[in-house]
Amino acid sequence: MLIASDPISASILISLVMLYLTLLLYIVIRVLKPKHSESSDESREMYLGGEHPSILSKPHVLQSGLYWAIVFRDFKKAYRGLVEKMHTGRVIDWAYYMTAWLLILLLLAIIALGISALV
Amino acid sequence: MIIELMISTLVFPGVLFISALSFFTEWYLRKGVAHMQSRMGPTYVGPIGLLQPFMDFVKLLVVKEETKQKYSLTWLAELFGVLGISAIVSSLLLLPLSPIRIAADYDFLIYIYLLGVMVPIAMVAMSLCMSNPFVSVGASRLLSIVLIVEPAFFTGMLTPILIATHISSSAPMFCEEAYCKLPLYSIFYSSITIGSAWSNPIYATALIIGLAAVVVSVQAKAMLNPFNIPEAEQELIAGIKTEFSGPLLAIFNLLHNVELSSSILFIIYVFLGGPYPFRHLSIQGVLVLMAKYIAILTLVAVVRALFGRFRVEQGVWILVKYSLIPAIAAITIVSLSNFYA
Repeated sequence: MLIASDPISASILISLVMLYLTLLLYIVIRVLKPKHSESSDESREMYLGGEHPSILSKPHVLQSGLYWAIVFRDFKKAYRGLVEKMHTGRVIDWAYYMTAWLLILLLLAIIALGISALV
Repeated sequence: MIIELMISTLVFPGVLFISALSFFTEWYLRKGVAHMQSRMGPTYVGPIGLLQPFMDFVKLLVVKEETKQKYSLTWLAELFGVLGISAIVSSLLLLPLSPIRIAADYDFLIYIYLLGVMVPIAMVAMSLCMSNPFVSVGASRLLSIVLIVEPAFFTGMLTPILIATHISSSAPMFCEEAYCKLPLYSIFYSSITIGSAWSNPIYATALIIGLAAVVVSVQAKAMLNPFNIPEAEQELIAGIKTEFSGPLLAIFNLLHNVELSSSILFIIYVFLGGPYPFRHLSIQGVLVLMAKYIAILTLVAVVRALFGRFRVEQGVWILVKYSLIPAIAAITIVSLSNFYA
């Protein structure tokens, strides 16, 4: 049985289903979970693999820094690849590189012209 | 209709069905990988250990105590976990598998929103509700993986959607009369049309490349070897799961397994046409559907057993190379083929 056939009603319906399921499952889990929980001092501490919490006050890398470090490291690899090929210090390398790129662009332009002529 | 919708979302293909499928998926992965590594795997609970994942879930949810760390927001973490599971269950309404279904123009975008945005956000938010340096590092790793894996997954998934849309607009004889009026760029439409596209060699090439890209990205989405980088057992204790225990761990495990199961289910429908060449609700159709599910799952298990964990930058680069670039290549082949057709 098809109950929604346009994008707006489909989005609204799916959002409502998601909301209803979230509430229902949350209530079910709250009812089912054990009523008592561990409350010893040790269990209330953050798990740090045996280290004392004071270790966290030492200078450390931010979480966002870790994320961007990974992303930038990969971008840097691509950037370095380009730089090392273009800037070897020899003019002829630079000329080869630029000629190759111009040839590719020329080829693309010819293909585009061919397509537009066909269309 | 509302009662039927509520029953469908709770029973089939709702919470009960997808949970049962995810328990089976976990059992199959654990048993399969154990067999490949000369271990026993789940054995004692149920026939050949089939009920072990279910009992693990029940034990964590009902019996085990939840350790409440003083900086944690367990209720919020539970809410995010449940939100992720609900997003996945809601997306199942887009499949032909569902007796009550949604098929609208561009419903593929709704699917992207539910599985590519809601689920990773739910997972990251759930873990960040527990303050811990290991969790933070795990979450930052997860975000780095998500940055590549979600675009790769959905670019790959777009390949059959584009093919199905082109087939319907250029050759209506491919689709049956009743289905020709159905919307385009739709999961449902693609599922019932894509089977016939495999006979076209150009489309078949693009579909194979896209399928390979999507399977690699599923491995990373499910955080299975070699992409178990955000969990990184031993190295980061348990990464994003470090502070989870009891019911919260049960919810996280369920979210993780349900995501894997639904991703494979969507791949089977969108790429392989579900029960194609048979019809839904026929015995042959169900058997073909199960065979396709097991085949993809076996592939995932083999990759999991073969590889050790990659480092973060290795994982990101491997995903670019074997998932993102092939997915873009597949979609380029389809676009060029559609343009010249």
